[in-house]
Amino acid sequence: MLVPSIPILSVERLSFCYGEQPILADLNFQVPTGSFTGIIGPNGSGKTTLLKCLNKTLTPTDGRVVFCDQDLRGIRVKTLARMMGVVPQQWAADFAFTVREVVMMGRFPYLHALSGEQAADWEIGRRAMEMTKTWELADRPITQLSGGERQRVLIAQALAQTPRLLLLDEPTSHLDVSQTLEICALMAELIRKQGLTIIAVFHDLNLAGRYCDNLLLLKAGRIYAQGSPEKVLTVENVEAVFGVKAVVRDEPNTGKPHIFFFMKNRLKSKTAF
Amino acid sequence: MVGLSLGLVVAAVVALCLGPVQLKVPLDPLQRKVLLDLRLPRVILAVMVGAALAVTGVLFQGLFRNPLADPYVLGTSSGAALGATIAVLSNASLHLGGLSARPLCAFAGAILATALVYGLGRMGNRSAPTIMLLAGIAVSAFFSALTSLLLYFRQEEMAKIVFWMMGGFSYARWAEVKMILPYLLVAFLLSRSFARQLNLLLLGEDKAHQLGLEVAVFQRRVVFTASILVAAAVSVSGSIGFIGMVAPHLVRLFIGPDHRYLIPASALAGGLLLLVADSLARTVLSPVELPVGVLTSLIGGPFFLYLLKKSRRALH
Amino acid sequence: MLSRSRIRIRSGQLSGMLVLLLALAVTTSAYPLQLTDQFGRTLSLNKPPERIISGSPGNTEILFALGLADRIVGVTDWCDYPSAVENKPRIGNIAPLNLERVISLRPDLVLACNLNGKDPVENLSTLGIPTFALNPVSFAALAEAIQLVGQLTATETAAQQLVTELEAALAALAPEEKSSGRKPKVLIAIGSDLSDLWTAGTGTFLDEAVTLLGWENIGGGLGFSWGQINLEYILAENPELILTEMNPAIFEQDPFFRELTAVRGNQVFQINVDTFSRPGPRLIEALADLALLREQVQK
Repeated sequence: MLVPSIPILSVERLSFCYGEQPILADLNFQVPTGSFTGIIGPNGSGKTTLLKCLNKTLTPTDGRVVFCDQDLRGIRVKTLARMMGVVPQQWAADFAFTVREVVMMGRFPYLHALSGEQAADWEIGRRAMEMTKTWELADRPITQLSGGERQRVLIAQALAQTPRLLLLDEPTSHLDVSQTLEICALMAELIRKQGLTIIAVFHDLNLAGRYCDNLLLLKAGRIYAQGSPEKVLTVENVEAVFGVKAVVRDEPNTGKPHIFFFMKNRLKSKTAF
Repeated sequence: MVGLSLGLVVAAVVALCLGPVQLKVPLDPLQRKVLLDLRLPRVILAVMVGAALAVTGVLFQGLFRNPLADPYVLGTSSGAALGATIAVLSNASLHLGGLSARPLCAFAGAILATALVYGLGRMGNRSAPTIMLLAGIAVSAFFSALTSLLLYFRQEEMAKIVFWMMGGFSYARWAEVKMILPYLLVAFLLSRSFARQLNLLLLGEDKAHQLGLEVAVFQRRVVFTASILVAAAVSVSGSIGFIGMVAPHLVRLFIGPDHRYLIPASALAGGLLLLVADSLARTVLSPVELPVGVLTSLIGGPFFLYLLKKSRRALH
Repeated sequence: MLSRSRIRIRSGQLSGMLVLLLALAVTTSAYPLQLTDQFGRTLSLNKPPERIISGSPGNTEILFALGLADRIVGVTDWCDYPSAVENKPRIGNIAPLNLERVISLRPDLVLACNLNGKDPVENLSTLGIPTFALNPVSFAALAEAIQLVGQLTATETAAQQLVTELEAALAALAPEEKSSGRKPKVLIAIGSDLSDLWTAGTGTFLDEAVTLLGWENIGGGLGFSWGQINLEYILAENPELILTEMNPAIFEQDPFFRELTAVRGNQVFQINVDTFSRPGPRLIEALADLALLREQVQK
């Protein structure tokens, strides 16, 4: 897969504090265009905050973000919504919109004030729903959906924005095994076929290791390691960041690193495998 | 929607026929005057105010993502009450375009109160609507206290003000209709244009932002528009409760949460409800007029409870 | 020159007469007395009250009219007639009644009225202060009230005088001949603005007076004493007379009111509504004015 030389996202000296409390400190990294970047780290390491800084929900207290060659601060919210789609981790659905209505809200950044949705918009919406296997649910109210179905609807909505970059916050947390694999496969396909770039927060290191080609390992608001999964998912890194002992083996099918975890005092023998 | 429009027209025609003065075709000059200069402006005003209150209810319920929001949460009605009280107590003989001091001062008071709440809501870095709700409570309390204080020292005027505050259309004339018509038209048009954004906002402020909505700017616009609606409504008719809160819910039960239909349908429903209420208020115990606000709360309260019970799921 | 025996007889007769007079005085003195007030409560007084507090402007005027000015030790902030009342200490609002202030003035009679409210009246009695409540909602009740005050304060003659004047004024209202047919309709228009009209219904002096005049109050019989009525109703009833405190010209300028028979026929008369709302001796003058007015109408 060709990786164009200009990174789609470039983060320089990014810092963020909640009042006096520092959450992110001096982050520097680049996201290659067309990559599947995973952000991993223990709870409280600032993963979600980083995502929020990347989509302008939060304003960094220092540093800057360059997206598609422009400083993020200079991009208007509506323009940003055409280029960047976000799938949050949780979503309280209090109002009984149908799935179709929710997905079509993703076309908002493209609609003109006076005209409504055009045929092209409906088509994009339909494709987004088909890709996420939510087309069958089109007329159901979202209040009746399960957590997993809702998550797929949110992904469809983000896809309806036809973005160049997709940000996802733990996209598989509510999905079962087969759904998880389907979504991850979908994401890989989106990158391949549509040139999308994806940044996703994962709490499952192995999932991240298998699908991502670029990883950012966060610890306490700083980048501990970044690069390919082989480079980042090492025994030393895992122990230093997560505080658990690990054994890394290659996966049978893909050859990607797979980590087995152990409590620190439980590991009997490194050579058990 | 069609049903609502038809219902409204029918109700209007019926309302025009009700009243102590008997109308017989062909109309003599007095009857014609009663029909055209008394009943017609009153019917129109009731519909307009009902629509304004209902639309404001929709706007606030969407803005605050709270089904209990009513048009007066930002202190508008207490501001209007204070303005009206000052006008009555100072015996101001202001006369502009056929309007006495009271609706003019009530309007000014309403705008002042809401501007205060809005200004307070821009402070701090918490979500603006939350701050505004709290500021609304504080400002409401403050203005109400001022009003009560003024009335305490001039107790002989208390009955007048209290009666006005209970809401009524006894003084509805064409002058009042003309006064609020431009504000209401502009505000209605603006509200219609907010429909999509309000839908987005229902998904959450963060999500709306991610979908391209400038949330803070939009919230300010909504508050501005809603304030004009409520100020106009309250200044001519006192504070009439429940229409603003109940009409949107009623409509939502049948039409769903999509604001593109909710806003116009609520306007129709609000107008219809208030028209019926006012017609009852002026005919049930004729010639004594019941204050409309009392009637709407009397009927609205239990009716709302019934709605809640029946449709706990449908509200979600 | 009187002989000693004659002087003795005379002094005997004198002392006898004195004893007789004393006996008479004792038997004809009203005190201690027990009276029922217009709230239905009984009050016992052992001697004429010397420190009286008035709970309403009407009561104040009654007390002054009975010549009890120097026995008044407290009046409400609203009492403004007669002008001598300006020097009297104030007790504050009619309602809520400032009980501490009342007590601090050490009254031996508080002349309350229905406007003070039943609870404060009860509270005062419980605190040991003699309280007498008046509730004059009609002329008959007013006459009774005046006489009760007269009995309380041993000014029965003055009270009777006042009542006689009141009854005369009332009698003067009655039309000379019994009119046959329909009574003329009258609108009592109270307020400073046509867009904010109130009217007097049953239970008010105005309504009673107007009825005695042989007129029909279109605001009467509706079940309230003060209230607002529908403009349409006024138009439908089309009164022949209007009694108001406003300038009659205002009616002529209003597009609706100018169509009424009363306005067309110039039968809009100004009265002082304030004096009609105080149950006191000034009602007598107000009634006299009304009688004069009626003569104007008949012309």
